[in-house]
Amino acid sequence: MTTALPTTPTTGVGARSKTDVRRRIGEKWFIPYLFVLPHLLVFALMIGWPFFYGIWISMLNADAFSGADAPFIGLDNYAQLFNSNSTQFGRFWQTLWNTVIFVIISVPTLIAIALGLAALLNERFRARNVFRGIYFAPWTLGVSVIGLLWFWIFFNNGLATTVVESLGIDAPIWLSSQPWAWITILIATIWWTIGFNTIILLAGMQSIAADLYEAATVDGANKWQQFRHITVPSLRPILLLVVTLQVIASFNLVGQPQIITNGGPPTAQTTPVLLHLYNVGFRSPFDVGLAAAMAVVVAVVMVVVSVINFRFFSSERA
Amino acid sequence: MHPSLFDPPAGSGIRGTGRIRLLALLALFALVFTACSGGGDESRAPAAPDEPADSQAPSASGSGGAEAAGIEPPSADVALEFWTPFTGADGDTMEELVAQFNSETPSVQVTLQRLPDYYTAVNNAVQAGETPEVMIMHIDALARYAAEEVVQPVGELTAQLNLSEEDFTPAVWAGTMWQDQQYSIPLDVHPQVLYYNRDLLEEVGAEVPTDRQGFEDALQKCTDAGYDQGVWSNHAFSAGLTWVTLFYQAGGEWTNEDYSEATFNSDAGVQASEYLLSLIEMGVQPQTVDPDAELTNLESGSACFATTGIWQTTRLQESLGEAFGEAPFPQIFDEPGNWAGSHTLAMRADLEGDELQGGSYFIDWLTSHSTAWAAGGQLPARSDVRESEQFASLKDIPDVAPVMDAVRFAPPIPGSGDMFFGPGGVWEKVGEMIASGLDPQEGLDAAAEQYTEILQTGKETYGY
Repeated sequence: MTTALPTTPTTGVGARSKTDVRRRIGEKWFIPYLFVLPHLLVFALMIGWPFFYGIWISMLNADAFSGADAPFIGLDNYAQLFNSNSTQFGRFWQTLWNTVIFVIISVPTLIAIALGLAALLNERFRARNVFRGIYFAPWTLGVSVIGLLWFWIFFNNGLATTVVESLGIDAPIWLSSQPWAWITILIATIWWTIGFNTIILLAGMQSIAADLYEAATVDGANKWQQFRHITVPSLRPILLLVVTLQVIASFNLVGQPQIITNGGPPTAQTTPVLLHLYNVGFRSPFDVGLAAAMAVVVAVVMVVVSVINFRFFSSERA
Repeated sequence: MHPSLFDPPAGSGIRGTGRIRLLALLALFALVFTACSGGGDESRAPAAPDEPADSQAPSASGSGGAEAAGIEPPSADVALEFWTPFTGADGDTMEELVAQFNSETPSVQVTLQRLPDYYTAVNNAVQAGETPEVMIMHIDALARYAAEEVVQPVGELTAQLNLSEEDFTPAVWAGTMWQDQQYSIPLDVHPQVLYYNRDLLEEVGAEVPTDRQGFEDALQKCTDAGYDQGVWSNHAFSAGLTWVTLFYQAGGEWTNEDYSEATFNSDAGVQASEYLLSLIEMGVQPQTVDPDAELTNLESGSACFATTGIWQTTRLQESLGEAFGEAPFPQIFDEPGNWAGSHTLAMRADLEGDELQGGSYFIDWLTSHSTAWAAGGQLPARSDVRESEQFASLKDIPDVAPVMDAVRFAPPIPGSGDMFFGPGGVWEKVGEMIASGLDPQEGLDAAAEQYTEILQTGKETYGY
């Protein structure tokens, strides 16, 4: 808004003519706030209130039935998560570690493959747009669709086993042994989400000035050198965005293991922390307060990771 | 395996069968016929077609449906919400039953809800003050809802209907108790069963096993003939249920008498674990089989047997046709014992007056009309239904009925099912024993220690 100052009720014609537009908007001091209000309301209701309510619940001994009437227990829920003697300690940190491992493995993979695909799709060739569409298409599917799809491919003596064994190699039991269960989840995730990163990186590549490449060609740089020294450095701001989004997306892993491996093999080896906290809060033992505390801890971890990520990229730029 | 903890049948992919439709159609015909010939005295429910034949004669125990005992529909019209986790073909069957009830009982109109993620939905409804009037409660979930006063005691109803544990079985009756009060009426019992392929058994010359010797012989013969995919998968509802059944058969108890200590790390627990491992060692059971693959292996003819809950019956009947058979899980150890779950019917805590009467009437009606329900892969909880000719005429399911005397349930305290299915519970340990050689005693000790602590907390919270 142009002004937030309370305007004194002016009646002078001269005043009006000076800043006609401003005046009309700012005639009453609260008018600007009215413009902000719709967004503020949505923000406060949909983001602000749940955020603080979540923190509040994490300090209650809340179960599925008590809601916010539950007794206040301060930081006891957090203590359960940080006390190595508590029954909740092991599983929480195990699943958080599962998530971190997934982030560490999936982020570089998903970025590297997307970068390569984007470079390929940036070339001129026939039916280029068709291929761009094909690579992006899986991203439009829901997690339940891709989950079931890849479940059936890897399940028991399914397609994956048949293909692998036709090559004369003994196929593992994909969904019930490690590390294959994680690899299955990773493959499904790559197939599902690679299109999103690819499209963003492709858009970034298309905005790189063509004369840079021309000049490089004149100087005798080959394709790889051009990619290494022009494309990648020019993409840095876009890469920051993609890496940040990918870290968050990988951290939010829930649906794929829930559907493909059900969090197993039995001992929660592919249970990410968010699936664990969902189970604790909404399955059994219905400990909503504890689940909220876990969510807060995970949120803090994510903020820290995002800050590190930001620092890393901005320091490299400097 | 939490998602299906309380809800085995929902996600079990049971497909609708022509048989159920046929049954319903016959039911409808019979209904019209009775209504036409009987003279419409609506205050008394007409003799329904799938009502057990013997229930019309007053039985010794005085049970046997709406006619024999004194419950009538309310005089005022009431509308009831009935919530269930039946999202598969079982839900279609329930839909037909509810439609039949609604047409028979104009003053009580029931709306069926079929909900995935069932207990999350129920909990949210409780929070919002929108608890349904009538709801399905799994027997191992009931105690928590009773303790939280979500559902109400049904002592008056059972007194009115003159129902007692003899009309069910002692185990399932006891399972609906919370602190000496009864909170729900069992609709069905769904035990772990042994499915088999008759053709393959004949081919390899094996009998349907009933004991340890027979079981191991049959598995050996099948394996030798190349049907080597074993009997279970690495799933809580397959290898896991087998562990529980073996645990019961070896005389295991989940807790001590006053629920203050988890005791599943007893000899019985170790014996059950070691028996599972011994089958792998014998080479008649692969070490790793994907969850649910026991069913596809049986369907594709690469295994003679499969074991999980009875709720897969219709699916396997359809895919195996005449070759399909099912039996109680063989008795490996000294005592009869068999894992089972049960759907029970409960009513909202503050239900009263006409609504309460309508709900009670509906519950009684539904439990005594549970033959059609059983056809979808359940054993009716009520003995009179189970002993009826209609039930006996069902395909395959009656073969499993003898197991009713052997079934046991987790202790009737909040969250007791977690000792097996929960985080750090027995199933996880058994999974580790199978997958990575965890020592049975060591694994069970660790789980027992954790759950003893949880039981102690539960005692404080719920006062059991």
